[in-house]
Amino acid sequence: MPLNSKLGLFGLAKQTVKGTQVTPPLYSHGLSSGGLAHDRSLAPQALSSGARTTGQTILSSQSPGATVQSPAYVAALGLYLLAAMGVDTVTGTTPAYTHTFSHGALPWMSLYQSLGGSEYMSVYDAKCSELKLSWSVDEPVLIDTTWVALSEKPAQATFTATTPLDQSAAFLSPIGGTFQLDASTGTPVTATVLSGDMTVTNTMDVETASGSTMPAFAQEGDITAACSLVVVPDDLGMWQRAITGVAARGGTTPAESPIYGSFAVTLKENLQPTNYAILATTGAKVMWDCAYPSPSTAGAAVQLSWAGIPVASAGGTPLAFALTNTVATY
Amino acid sequence: MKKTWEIKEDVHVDMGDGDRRITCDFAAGEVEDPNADDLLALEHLESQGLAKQVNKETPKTPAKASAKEDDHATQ
Repeated sequence: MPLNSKLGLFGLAKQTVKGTQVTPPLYSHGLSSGGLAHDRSLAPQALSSGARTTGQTILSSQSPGATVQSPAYVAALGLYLLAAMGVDTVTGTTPAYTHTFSHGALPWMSLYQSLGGSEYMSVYDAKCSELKLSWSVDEPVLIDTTWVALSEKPAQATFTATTPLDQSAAFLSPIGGTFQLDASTGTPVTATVLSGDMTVTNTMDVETASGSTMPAFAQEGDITAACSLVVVPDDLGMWQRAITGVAARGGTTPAESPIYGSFAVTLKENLQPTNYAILATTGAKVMWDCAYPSPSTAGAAVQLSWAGIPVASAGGTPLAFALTNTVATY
Repeated sequence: MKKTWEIKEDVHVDMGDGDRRITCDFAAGEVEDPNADDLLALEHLESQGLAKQVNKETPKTPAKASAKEDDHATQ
């Protein structure tokens, strides 16, 4: 009987040290796309011979990892953000704790996946190389993550997460959220937003050393961030200010230096009147870019697609994430 | 002199030190003579405005040169 691909869960847990897989995963949940991966660098040996055929294949490297997308479950979201940012500072008392994330050494993680109800795989000594949160209108907030790993168990034993989130309704939603943007000042103002995303990328140096085709180390390097917001404006004053740097409308020449703006977005837990779960994301210093809109024959409302490059203010982070939920620690 | 830190509110820190993780819990109040892991966490909390070293040593002002040395310097 074929394996049923509908039956699939992804699990994750934070390791305290490199080299020791954590069993079982802390959380598990379904995926909207992606999964664990095992890539191999395979090529026929480049060699002349007595025939036009090649007799050997060379396996030069293997790369365990994962690329996954799921709803942003509010319990697990903090662990994802910790994996991508590195430091979690928790304040507050039960039932609402506030997790403030900042950049630091990334934790090693153990990742799990089940498939078809009978197959299990895991990778560990994994690091998160990219995290993206996105939403469209009022659909559930999605989290996309990309991982690299040093170790793998292609035949992992059955696992049951400590906190299963399968089919949970406790995910982030734009409904009830707030959306603010300003393209030329540090004080964002409420905007009519259709969609948006925020991305944190950890440049990851993954190398295979002599002696094994599995990766020897994964070293995080440069941190970059990106954000975008699609806005329906009442006028093009913000666009003009972003170009001219003049506070009032009417600036006559493009500015010769970057103009920094800002944004602030809050997203709330789906269907929860208590709203313990809130994600507040801010970019205090963002260089925004936006194409001048074109007329259209359909006569639809003009939309501005703002693409931002957040940078860190002194002592800060390019993108600041503050998550309030009922989880005390990860 | 014992190093003393003032913690503004109960706080938990989860951070990395190389390949290992450090997790520290501090209650609001004072922390005296923190160990090495706590010290890393406290320095992080200070950068976040959640802790403050209350008896931080201030750099000593260079002692005023003696009259004899001054004479030497001007010779």
